[in-house]
Amino acid sequence: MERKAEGTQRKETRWVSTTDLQKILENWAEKGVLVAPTKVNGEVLFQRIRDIREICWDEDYVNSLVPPKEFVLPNEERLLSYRRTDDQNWVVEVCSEENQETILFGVRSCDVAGLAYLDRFLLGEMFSRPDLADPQYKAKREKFILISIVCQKAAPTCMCVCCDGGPALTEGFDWQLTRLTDGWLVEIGSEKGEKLATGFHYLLQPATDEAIKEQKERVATIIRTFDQYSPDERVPTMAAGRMVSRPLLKEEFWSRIGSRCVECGGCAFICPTCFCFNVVDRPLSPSLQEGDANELAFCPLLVGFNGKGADYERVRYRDCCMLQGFVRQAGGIYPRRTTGERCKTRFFHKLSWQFLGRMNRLGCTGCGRCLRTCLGEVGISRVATEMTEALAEKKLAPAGVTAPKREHQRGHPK
Amino acid sequence: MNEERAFFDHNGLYTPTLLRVTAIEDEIPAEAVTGPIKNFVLERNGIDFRPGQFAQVTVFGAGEVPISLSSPPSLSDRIILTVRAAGFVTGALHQIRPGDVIGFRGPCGNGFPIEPCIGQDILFVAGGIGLAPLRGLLWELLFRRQDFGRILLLYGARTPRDLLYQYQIPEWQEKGVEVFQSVDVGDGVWEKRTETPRKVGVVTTLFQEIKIDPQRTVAFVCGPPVMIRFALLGLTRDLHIAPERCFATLERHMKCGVGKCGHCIVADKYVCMDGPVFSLAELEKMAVIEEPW
Ligand SMILES: Cc1cc2nc3c(=O)[nH]c(=O)nc-3n(C[C@H](O)[C@H](O)[C@H](O)COP(=O)(O)OP(=O)(O)OC[C@H]3O[C@@H](n4cnc5c(N)ncnc54)[C@H](O)[C@@H]3O)c2cc1C
Ligand code: SF4
Ligand code: SF4
Ligand code: FES
Repeated sequence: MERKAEGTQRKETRWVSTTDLQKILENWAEKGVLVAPTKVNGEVLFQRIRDIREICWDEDYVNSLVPPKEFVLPNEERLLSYRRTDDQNWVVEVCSEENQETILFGVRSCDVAGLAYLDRFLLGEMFSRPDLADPQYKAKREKFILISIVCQKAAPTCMCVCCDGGPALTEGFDWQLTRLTDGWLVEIGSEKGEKLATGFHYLLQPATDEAIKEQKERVATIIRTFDQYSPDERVPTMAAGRMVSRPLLKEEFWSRIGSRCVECGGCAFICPTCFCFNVVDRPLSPSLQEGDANELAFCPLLVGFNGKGADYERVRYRDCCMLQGFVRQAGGIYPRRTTGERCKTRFFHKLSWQFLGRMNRLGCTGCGRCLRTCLGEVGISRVATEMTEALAEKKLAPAGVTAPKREHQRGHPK
Repeated sequence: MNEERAFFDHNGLYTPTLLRVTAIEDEIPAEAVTGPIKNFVLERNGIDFRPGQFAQVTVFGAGEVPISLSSPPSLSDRIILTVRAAGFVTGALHQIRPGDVIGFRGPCGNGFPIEPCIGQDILFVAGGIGLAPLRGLLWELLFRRQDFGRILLLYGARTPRDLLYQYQIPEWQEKGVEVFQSVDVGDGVWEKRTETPRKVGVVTTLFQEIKIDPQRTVAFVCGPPVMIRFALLGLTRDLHIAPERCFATLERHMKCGVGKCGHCIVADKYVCMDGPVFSLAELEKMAVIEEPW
């Protein structure tokens, strides 16, 4: 596959000065919604801002603590609500929200690639069923204008270069900005981006050949610094992909990796490409009656079901395939009982050729967040490195003597 | 297919259609090993589907679960669900009364391939409540009986009390279905009767009772995972049916039914969208990565 970071495709380009870029954002913040990186207690987070002085500019951070998927696939979201109208009847109310056009400013390439991944899945393209697009996601996503900023400094955990996730992209963004010695190069990547450029045409100027050349050089330089910044973290994604796709790794390998997972779910919650969610129905206002207190303490849902509650909501919230209950079925049927089996599934989904084929890209964009989040060092590049090591070990000791015994596994006690 | 799309378009992907439960029948008593199983007869409301598809069924106040449609689409005035009280939501479903409304989202999934079966012999292998999704297909075939060759049904359950749809078996036999049944444990009476050929033992022991032509037989399997595994093994090894001619329907934890929540993944397949019906050839490929049964 061609590396997107090298930017082979020719895009429409403009040039903007720093003051004019600020004017564009200022103007937008006044009449629309502007979401931008801000600094909160030393961490960088995306937030809606009204004053552009709150923006934490690209030179001050590598990436935000959590990806901006929060704005299109919130941690918790109501799908619908329903109400009992009489003894036997219910009415369902769909929640439709009015979303305002929103500029998401300062997104990094890996997160742009993450959103493109979510689009392909949640908008039904992967199944060629756009008619089955997720309505809640679509409504929000359509209103978002992505202005990304090309990274010029990589963190030790960054590995977008190995995952087609950056540091610069050729698609997925509406505008892609690159900071130059003077001003910014603006690459326009979509119709939305063109519309925005038309709207602010008086602040944009044609990009000079020098500006385009400088941008290319800067991207080439940053790609070189990846080796310098993170020689060890450079994920051998292709090698790892081969190993999960075939699959070449034995159960012992996965139980060893799995034994380090404490099932916190963090890896999926902070991953820009993870979309899995759980759904529950819960009473909105359980009308409590005397004697309900105990029931409520043990199972709030039951109070509702006994017919005393009348209003319910159905909400979805983030879920993670590393958690034990993710695939639990009624009747004691329990696929992927151990953390090891669940690790295998997770990395298969992220790195395999099978999913690469279905999704048109790897399930990892190289943001490095799981590496920083995981308490048990089950971050993706760490595991990918171990995969290649395991294969090397096997070559040296074909009898598999290096594989540890089945360690403690957190299976379902049943 | 188009009608299905229209159905989701019209309602919004996650919004259930309200359907009234017109009748509720006890199928299996609570004392049976599998616990209580009931049939819920729903008004049809113009919903089109194929045998083997399922729906996301909302029990208001409790939640939503995937349930197979166990009646044939040609039965035009109703949809029947056969449900075991297996947990919280299905338990709540068992408490509703005729006249109550439930939520219906679907049909979901691919369903059984029927057209390729024309002119072929059909072999059903079912275990326990696994007969529910297969019954829709069986009846659909019987509505156009002349299109198909022999139809055989091998059905097994834990005990005689756990066998589903016993009252329909004479009708199936009349229409030329060769029915063979088994129970894991007999009750001293059942095994002595002779309405259908029967055996005490797991359902795969019935394979010895039948003679088929593997070149012209298509097999459909549904049941608990272990049973699926052994049935598929028997079909290919003992009865010599090609993997492309064996189909099984899988069950997985599902939250959305429309390829969004990620719960139903097996290897590189989403059971709710790519399945729940898979050929053994596909299942074998999946099994290299992750055991689907
Ligand atoms: C395609 C398909 C068809 C099915 N057809 C039938 C049928 O015709 N008749 C029938 O009785 N049962 C059927 N089931 C199984 C039925 O969906 C489960 O028994 C039911 O989900 C259990 O939910 P619960 O709340 O009662 O149990 P709990 O154990 O309380 O489950 C809690 C939650 O876990 C999830 N869950 C648990 N078990 C399953 C499971 N086996 N499958 C999916 N999600 C699960 C559900 O989301 C549920 O809300 C089918 C399942 C699938 C996937
Ligand atoms: S792999 Fe790490 S981050 Fe993910 S659930 Fe396990 S401990 Fe948490
Ligand atoms: S798997 Fe890890 S490094 Fe890859 S995109 Fe997800 S959080 Fe980032
Ligand atoms: S049930 Fe949600 S993705 Fe299949």
